[in-house]
Amino acid sequence: MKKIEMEYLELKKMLAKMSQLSTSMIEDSIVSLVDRDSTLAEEVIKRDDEVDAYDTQIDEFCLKALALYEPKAVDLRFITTALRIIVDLERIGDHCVEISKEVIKLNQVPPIKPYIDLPKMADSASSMVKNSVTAYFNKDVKLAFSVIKKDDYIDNLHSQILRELITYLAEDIRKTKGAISLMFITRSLERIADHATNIAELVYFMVTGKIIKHTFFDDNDIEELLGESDE
Amino acid sequence: MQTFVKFFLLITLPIFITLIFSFFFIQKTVSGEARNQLLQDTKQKWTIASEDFIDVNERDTAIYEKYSNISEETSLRFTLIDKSGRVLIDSDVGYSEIQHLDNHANRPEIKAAYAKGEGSSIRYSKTVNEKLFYFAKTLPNGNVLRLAYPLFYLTEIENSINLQMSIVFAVLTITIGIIAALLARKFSLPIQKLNYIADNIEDGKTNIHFPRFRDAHMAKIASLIYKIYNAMLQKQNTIKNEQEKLKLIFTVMDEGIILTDLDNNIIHVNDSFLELFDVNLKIGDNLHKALNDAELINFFDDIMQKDNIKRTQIPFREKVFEVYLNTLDSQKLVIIHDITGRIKYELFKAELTGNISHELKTPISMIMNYAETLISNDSLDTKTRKKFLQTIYSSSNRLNELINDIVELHKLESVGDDFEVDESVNLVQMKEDLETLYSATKGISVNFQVDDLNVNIFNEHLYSIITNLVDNAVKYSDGDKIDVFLKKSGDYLVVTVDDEGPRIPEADRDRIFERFYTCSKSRNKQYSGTGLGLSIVKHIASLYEGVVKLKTNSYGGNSFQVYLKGKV
Repeated sequence: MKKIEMEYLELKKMLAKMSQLSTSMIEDSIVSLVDRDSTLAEEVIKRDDEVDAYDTQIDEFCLKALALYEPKAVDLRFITTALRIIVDLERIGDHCVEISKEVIKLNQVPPIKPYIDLPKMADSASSMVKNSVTAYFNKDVKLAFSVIKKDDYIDNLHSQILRELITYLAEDIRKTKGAISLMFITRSLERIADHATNIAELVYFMVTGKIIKHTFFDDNDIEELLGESDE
Repeated sequence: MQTFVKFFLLITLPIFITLIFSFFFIQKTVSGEARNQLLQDTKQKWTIASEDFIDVNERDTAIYEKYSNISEETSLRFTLIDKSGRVLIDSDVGYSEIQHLDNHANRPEIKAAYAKGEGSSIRYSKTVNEKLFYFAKTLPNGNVLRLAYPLFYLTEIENSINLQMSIVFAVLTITIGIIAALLARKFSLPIQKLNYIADNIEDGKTNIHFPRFRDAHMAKIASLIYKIYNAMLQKQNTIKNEQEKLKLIFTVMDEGIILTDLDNNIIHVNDSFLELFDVNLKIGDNLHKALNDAELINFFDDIMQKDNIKRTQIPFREKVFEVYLNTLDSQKLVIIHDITGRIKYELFKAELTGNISHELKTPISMIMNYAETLISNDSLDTKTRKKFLQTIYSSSNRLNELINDIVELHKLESVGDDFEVDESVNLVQMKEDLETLYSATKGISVNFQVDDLNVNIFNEHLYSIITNLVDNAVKYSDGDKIDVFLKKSGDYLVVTVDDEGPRIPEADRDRIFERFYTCSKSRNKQYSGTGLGLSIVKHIASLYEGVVKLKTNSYGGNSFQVYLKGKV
């Protein structure tokens, strides 16, 4: 195998590690919320350092690869996309830290409600992150679009949870602290989903070379774009 | 064909070259000899003729006449030239024309005669329009007498030699050609045959026809090749069979097996591996390049980084894998075994052992404690004594019940599927027995509805199913009514026991048929059971090719349905 291919595999492995770390942070932060487990929350906060380390490492790696091998076309996009994906993954890690901090605060006040929609939202968000990275590895435009589409579901859940939290606030003023923390957590999850969408858009760019950021789609648009990419 | 041509040329070419050279040589020699003879002959004639010309210094008609006649008869030509090159007499030219002939002093033979005394040359004469042989020699008075003789004599000799030689040459060529062709055929045929064999072997054909060889050496070589070739074919077959055997073994094995080189390029992978991880890998792929799922990449990266893994349990997603890795010279062998089931079973077993010992120990420790108190304490009053003895008795009863249940379960397990029921049970009869049994139950009414049927099921088996289910319902139900139905549905007899709740929690529904499993972990013996009842029911049902279903009924309670098939 050529040297450059080995380097790509190395990059792939590091990205896989980083994305798994990030998704595990999402999952564990929500587990710590549901189980009221502050120790786990603190552990999640510490894990962010590892994600940051990977961020730096991959960044340097990519720049080195760009300088040494001067990749062209698809290879070039593969590396530049990796450079931008790690920014999103790193931000996802930061949001998980936010969530964990709020969890620790929440654990100091009595629980205000059973969590049903939040774990669902976290599940969706983490699967979005996983799928977007898998789409990147597979150069799979369809999977990338499924991620972009799922963002609407997350947005709906977000506003639904907010509405619910506002009713709690209206009912009982003593629940304010908890409700606000939960609002932050919901917001963080929504932001995580946005980052996953970003990654998915980058994947589309990598495969087709077209930039679809800052564009709104309905289903017809997506089918049209999928048709184009099939050709 | 190529070999044939080669051999043919190899034989004929040198022979032809030698032949051609020798023919040229012979021709040269013969024609040189002829020319020499001609010269000698001419010299003699010159000597004879010179007598007449010795004293001629001017043109002389008499001599001219004489030689002109001779010339006509013999085609010899006589020319007399004086010292200055002027022609005095020429036998071939009219006498009057002689004085008009140009000066001959420059002719090569005359020049040579002036210089050396004699000379000869062959040249074309314009005077007589023929190619002539000239011989000139000086006479004592300084004049030159030249004799010329037409060359056709020489040409004739040469032609006749050439003709004969051509005939010989042609005959030789044909003979040599035939002989060479035969020889070449003889040599090239075995080589062509060998070549044919070699070509076929190279093409990998399996059924090669081996041609016969007349030549003993060639036959030996061919038979050797034949032997080696057959041995090779056998070896190939053996290797192929071995490979297929290995492949078959790999395919049949439950363990996922993957063999890679040190750069993680796949050398072999079996189907179980692909099924275990639901991936599509081909031989020759790079493992990390072909995998596109972050978790899978990480899982295998962690494994492949190591040189040696000895049966290590690695959890992945919801499963647990036992991984074995060994690095050979330039290959890595990874064997992955899904032990999720085993781990679950081990957990179950540990729980089971805990439950059994608990169930056995509780009554025994009760008996021991009370008995100890009774022995060591004589001062107890009769009432307490009786209470203690009562407890000891009920605990022994419980122990007895438990052991009976275990024995029954064991009996059921050892029955196997092959047994015959020779006596049939009448359901109405059974209903009467059961009604008598449960008539004394307080606070709860047990109602039976049965079809009037005879079924081929052992009496005690059916009895055991119903009593176990009804006892459970009596123990755990809050309601005051239990309905029991014995109905026929298709081939099956369906035993249904309905209570009025509370419902068994969803999470416990799968596990209540396990031995010693009870819903409440607290083991509050308010409702004491051995924990074996449902296990027995399930076992009996399986003996009659049936199943046990747990549903929710219209009262919001539990409805156990046991399907049984009568044995013939």
